[in-house]
Amino acid sequence: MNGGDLLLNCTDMSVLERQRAHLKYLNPSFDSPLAGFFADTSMINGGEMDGFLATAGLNLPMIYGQTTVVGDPRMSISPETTLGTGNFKKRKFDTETKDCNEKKKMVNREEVTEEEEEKSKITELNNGSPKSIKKMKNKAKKEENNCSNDSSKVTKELEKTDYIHVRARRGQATDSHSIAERVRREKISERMKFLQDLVPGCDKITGKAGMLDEIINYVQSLQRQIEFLSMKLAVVNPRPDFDMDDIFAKEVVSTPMTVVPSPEMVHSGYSHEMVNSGYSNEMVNSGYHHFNPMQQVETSSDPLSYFNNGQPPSMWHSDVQNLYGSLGV
Amino acid sequence: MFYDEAMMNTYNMVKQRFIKKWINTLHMLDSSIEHPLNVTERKNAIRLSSDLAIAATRSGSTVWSRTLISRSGNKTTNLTTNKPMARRILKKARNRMKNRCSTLRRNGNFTAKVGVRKRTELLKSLVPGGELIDDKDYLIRETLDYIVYLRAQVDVMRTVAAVDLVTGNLTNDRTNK
Repeated sequence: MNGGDLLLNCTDMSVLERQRAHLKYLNPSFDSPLAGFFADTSMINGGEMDGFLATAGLNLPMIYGQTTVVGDPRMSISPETTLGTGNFKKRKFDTETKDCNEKKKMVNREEVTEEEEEKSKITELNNGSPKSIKKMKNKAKKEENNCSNDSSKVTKELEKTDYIHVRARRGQATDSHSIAERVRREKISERMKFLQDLVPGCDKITGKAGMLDEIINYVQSLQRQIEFLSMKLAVVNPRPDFDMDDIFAKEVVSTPMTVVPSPEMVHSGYSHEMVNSGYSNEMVNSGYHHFNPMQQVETSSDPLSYFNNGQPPSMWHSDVQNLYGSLGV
Repeated sequence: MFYDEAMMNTYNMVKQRFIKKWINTLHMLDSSIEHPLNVTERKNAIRLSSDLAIAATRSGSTVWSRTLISRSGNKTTNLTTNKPMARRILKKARNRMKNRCSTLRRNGNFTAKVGVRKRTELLKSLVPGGELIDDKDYLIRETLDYIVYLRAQVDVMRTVAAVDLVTGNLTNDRTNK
């Protein structure tokens, strides 16, 4: 488990996606025809194979003139020499009985031979493939029923693809432990990807250690922000009790946008303004760089409670306008 | 941030739920805490109520939310109790927890060579309840969840702070006039 895994995952996904898109384009009626086939057979993988299997199968047909099934990399058995293209359809029906690994292995073994020539082109993609497959899992399950009849159509499309994809790596372990391990690693890298989306600025980073670093930094910075903000709030309010917040909550609930600071709460007319001007938290943030928060300390009364008493609209308005001005609205 | 519209709506909902709960916890805390408090204590009270509220907003099966709630429970007891004995006991418990965490943190700056393991340890110390999780996969899932809610918490607090700013500014103007 190292950065390579993550990277592979990405590459593989994009390749697989391309493949699927290609397939879809060529035959809009169904998705990854081979997927369903393997989905049936691969009980462990829960049909994840479909993605790469479909792609894997794509390269073979020109040679064999019909769709072939690619060995499940996870099963990844050392290629054996019997060529089984002719038996393809027959095997298909066999496997569709939803038998377990043994059947799959048989299928794989027979088909794997065809791929021997491509072994040399096999890259680390194989490593990543189980992971990408996992992602296709849900999709695959839907396609289970569609694939069986359509696999023959794949033949034509195969010639057009120029990628050789996930294949069983030579001598890769096939026992349940390593498979489980691989599945687990898949899950982890899948989540790492999600984390990449969540944590800003993570797209460039690959590798578990780097990713974890970013996540740690982000969590730390968020926690520090909370600390700072609660200190800020403590300074501004003489009591840890916000009177206005009852009103605030009401306003927040009604506002469809992100929570907007609502001094305009008191005067609903202004709330329109603020919402429409796209007032956002970011602007608020930049806003208080202009103000020195420490100014607030001097006020003896709870600034928030003023809201309950109401304020003369004119002063309110001018102050809000000032705020807007400083924010550059 | 979120590129998905639906996610954004859910996110806003989370924030709304959070602020409602936060108000409640603040009121609760306010009624049970002795006044007056100095700034630090106020800060802690605010922080505590905020954490409790965000954990309550999640109120699911996540480890971090449950940990936060139980931790906050300890802290509130600490804040509100007057008995020195109880205070000492609670303090000891908290320190023990803190020591465990700081030992992990003391491992300092990690270079890329140090690797995934130490970083995982650090992450565990950051995410509440992370120390209890052994499975790295689950830890990452927890972290994901935690980050989303943490972010919501920060956004809301920032907003409220800004409101305070504005109102404070207004008050200033009034007093200066």
